[in-house]
Amino acid sequence: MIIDLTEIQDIHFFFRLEFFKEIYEILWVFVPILIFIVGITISVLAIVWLEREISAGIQQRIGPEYTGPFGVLQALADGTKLLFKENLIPSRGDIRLFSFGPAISVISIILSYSVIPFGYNFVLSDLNIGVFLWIAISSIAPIGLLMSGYGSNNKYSFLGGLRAAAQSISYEIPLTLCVLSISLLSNSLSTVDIVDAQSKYGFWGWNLWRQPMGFLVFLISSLAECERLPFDLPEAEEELIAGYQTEYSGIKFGLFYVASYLNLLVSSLFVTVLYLGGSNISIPYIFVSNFFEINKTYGVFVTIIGIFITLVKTFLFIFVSITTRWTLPRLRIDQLLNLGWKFLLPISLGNLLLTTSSQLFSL
Amino acid sequence: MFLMVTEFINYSEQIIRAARYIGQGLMITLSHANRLPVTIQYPYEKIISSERFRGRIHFEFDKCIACEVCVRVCPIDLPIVDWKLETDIRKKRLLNYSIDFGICIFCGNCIEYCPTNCLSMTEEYELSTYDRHELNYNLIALGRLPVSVIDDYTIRTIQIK
Amino acid sequence: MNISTIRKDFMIVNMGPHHPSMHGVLRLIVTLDGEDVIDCEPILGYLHRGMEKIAENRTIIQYLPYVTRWDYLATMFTEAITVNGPEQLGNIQVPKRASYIRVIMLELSRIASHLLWLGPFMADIGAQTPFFYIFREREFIYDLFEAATGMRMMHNFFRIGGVATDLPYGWVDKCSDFCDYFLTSIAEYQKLITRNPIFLERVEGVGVVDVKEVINWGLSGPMLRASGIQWDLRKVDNYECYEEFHWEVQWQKEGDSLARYLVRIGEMVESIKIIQQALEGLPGGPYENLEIRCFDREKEPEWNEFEYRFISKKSSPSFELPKQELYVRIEAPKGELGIFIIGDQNGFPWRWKIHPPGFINLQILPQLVKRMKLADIMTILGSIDIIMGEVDR
Repeated sequence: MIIDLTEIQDIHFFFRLEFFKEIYEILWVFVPILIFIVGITISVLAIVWLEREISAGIQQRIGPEYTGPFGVLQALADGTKLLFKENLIPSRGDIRLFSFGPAISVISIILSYSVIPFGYNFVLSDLNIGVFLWIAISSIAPIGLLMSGYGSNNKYSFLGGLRAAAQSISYEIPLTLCVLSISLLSNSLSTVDIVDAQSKYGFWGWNLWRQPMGFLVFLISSLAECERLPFDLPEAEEELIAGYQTEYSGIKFGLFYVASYLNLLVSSLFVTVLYLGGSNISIPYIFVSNFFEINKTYGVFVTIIGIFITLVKTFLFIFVSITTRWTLPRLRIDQLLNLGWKFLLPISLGNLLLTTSSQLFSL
Repeated sequence: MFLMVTEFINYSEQIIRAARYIGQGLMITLSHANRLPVTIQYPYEKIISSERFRGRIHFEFDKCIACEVCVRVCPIDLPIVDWKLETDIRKKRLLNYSIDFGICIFCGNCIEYCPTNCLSMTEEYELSTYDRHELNYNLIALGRLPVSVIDDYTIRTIQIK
Repeated sequence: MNISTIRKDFMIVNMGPHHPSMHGVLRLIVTLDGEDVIDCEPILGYLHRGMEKIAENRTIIQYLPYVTRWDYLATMFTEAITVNGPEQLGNIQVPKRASYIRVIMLELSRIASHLLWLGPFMADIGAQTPFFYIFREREFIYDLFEAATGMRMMHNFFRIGGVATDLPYGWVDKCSDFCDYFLTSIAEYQKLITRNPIFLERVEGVGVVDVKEVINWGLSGPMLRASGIQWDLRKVDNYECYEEFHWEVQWQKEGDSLARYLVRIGEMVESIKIIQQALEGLPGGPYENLEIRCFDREKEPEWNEFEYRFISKKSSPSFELPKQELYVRIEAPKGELGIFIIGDQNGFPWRWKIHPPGFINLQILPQLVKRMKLADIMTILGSIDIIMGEVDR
């Protein structure tokens, strides 16, 4: 009996251990996600601050100054204010669509962060469809915008939503074709493999040198995907007041705001990953040998260096897109579609053709 | 075939030109990042207003001869001049004088045409109050001298040019 | 508007008086077919203050502070026309120095007005940054105005027969410094804007008005000159002392928004030329013709009546308008600014009709935006350059 009891106890113990382990594993899944989300949020705040400071510098103003050192906490203060603001709902709008719109656009953008390798093999999930997950998911965001535009019961919002849909559909195609050429070059769709394929010759191994046209097309169409200024027609202030955001207030407006900057960040990250060799150390001859020794000793250190390099490259592109925003005027909708279908699409197709044939010859 | 080639060359030249002019614009905007801001942080910094600045009106009771020219040139006949005719000296004695700065547009007509220079304009321009009736200045309030911006040591003053 | 009632799939959008790009309180009822504009109906009157009726019971000197509220961006021009009317009606001579000071002020005001056209026009197209740059330069002009007149916008500086006060000490040097500085910043604007491909895409061939139309609609100012007609009242009428300066009428022949942009940029440079010449040749002498303050009517009015004149540093204004009628015009930055006055041998004008350039130029808007895209409404409206203060008066 006694033996039985201990056996049962043992079984119970092991069972409970297993149970705890499962819970522990489930919890452990959430930890990296949480870390990612916190990191992403902080970088969005950084981008908002950068945008304000850079635009202030360009326009000979001062910009945020009083919240924190150099006003770094301004975005946080704005976000807190938006949290406490009244949540207005248009009385004759479709309340469900109105409420789901911002959530859908934010969630779909955050999901695409899961395939971005920030450092060497430092990625949330190394899927073998990698980049296409981003392309597939980023097409969901305009549905959110369309929903909110339709649910607002406002003609300006509706027009803004329609414009967002038209714009993202027409710029998705050149974007996809560029990504296709990249994946042909690296024989994989996985982002990790794409970064690895660029790591061979340091600075000169970047896809930027093998795909200069593709890089330009990707840059332009990713700007259009983010709805940044030369292409910010869905929220063109002078035409549609604020487009699909017109009726929003409080944290729902804040979600749209966050979504646009998240989109900017994810696009810049993808430019870095696809064309600038991601987390690879860019200068091949001087540092590499030194770094290899460190490589063996401190694994964490290398990861941090990788993240740092990725972010430096990313913020370079964010800087470029912010300065273009404050320099260029806005395109008209037909010119925007012309640019997408008559200029970027043929060029990216030609680029794809060239890439494919060169890959064929090299076989 | 040649036509297509030349067309293609023209097209690419056009694109290169477009890129160059966009780059030129970017250089202009970026060069501004190197310049100092031109803004003035208002409550902490203030411009020293020019000598002719038309601020709140100052009134000297003793000089006024109650001629009412200020009323006559005012677009809305705003100054209220309360006087009594003293028949023994055949002169008007001023009893009360008030201007409502909630209505005044600071056009300066009254100052320009006042025969005895009893009206003048000060550099005071921060007139906001919580109650609009406080803006109705009587002769005592009108006679008050404003505090100069230069004397306020908490404020950085900025001279233009 | 009839079409919209027949077909149901058109969208009628009310670009109401509060729309961010409606330059004040203009309201457009736009019928849209997707992005295409089918019809457009402007509705005015949200800023109507009865300026013409107010003029009928004010003396000129009382009315002068009001006029800067017509076109509040080209303030000197409204004052100029308000004093030019009675001057020409009463045949009053203006001293040379006053005339030169007036020209300098008018041209500075023209630059300020064109600058505040350029910024919002670029903002309408989508470039926000030029808005800040033009404000930087405009502030310098307004500092000059403040130093000379005491106010930045509502100057109240012109008087019948001259100007209110002489220029302060050092103002001339300050102004010529500004002229040198402004030429460099104009070059900067042109580098930033003129050949930007996106800007050209947006404005080239948008809102074309041809020579015939521009005359038939009675348009004036840069609208007229951009369509290939060299008509500038400063050359045509020779008012003030414009014939003493060397400058050219700016004109283009395309008639689109780009041509209007180029005309305005060119006019700013020409204005700088005029100012520099005027500053160099600024004559001495009186700044106001005080003789005209005396008025011809029966002597010895009753003491303390309205007409009674007290002896003062400046005699109180009692100028009367002769019993005549006259149309006076002036080349304002937006076009031909005119007034039609009828005097009645009285201090008050009997009728004071304002011919505002913005109002006349605005009427072509519905025709221009038809069959254009929604975004072109802003480009065209911006290139017309209206100020609702003078459109509604």
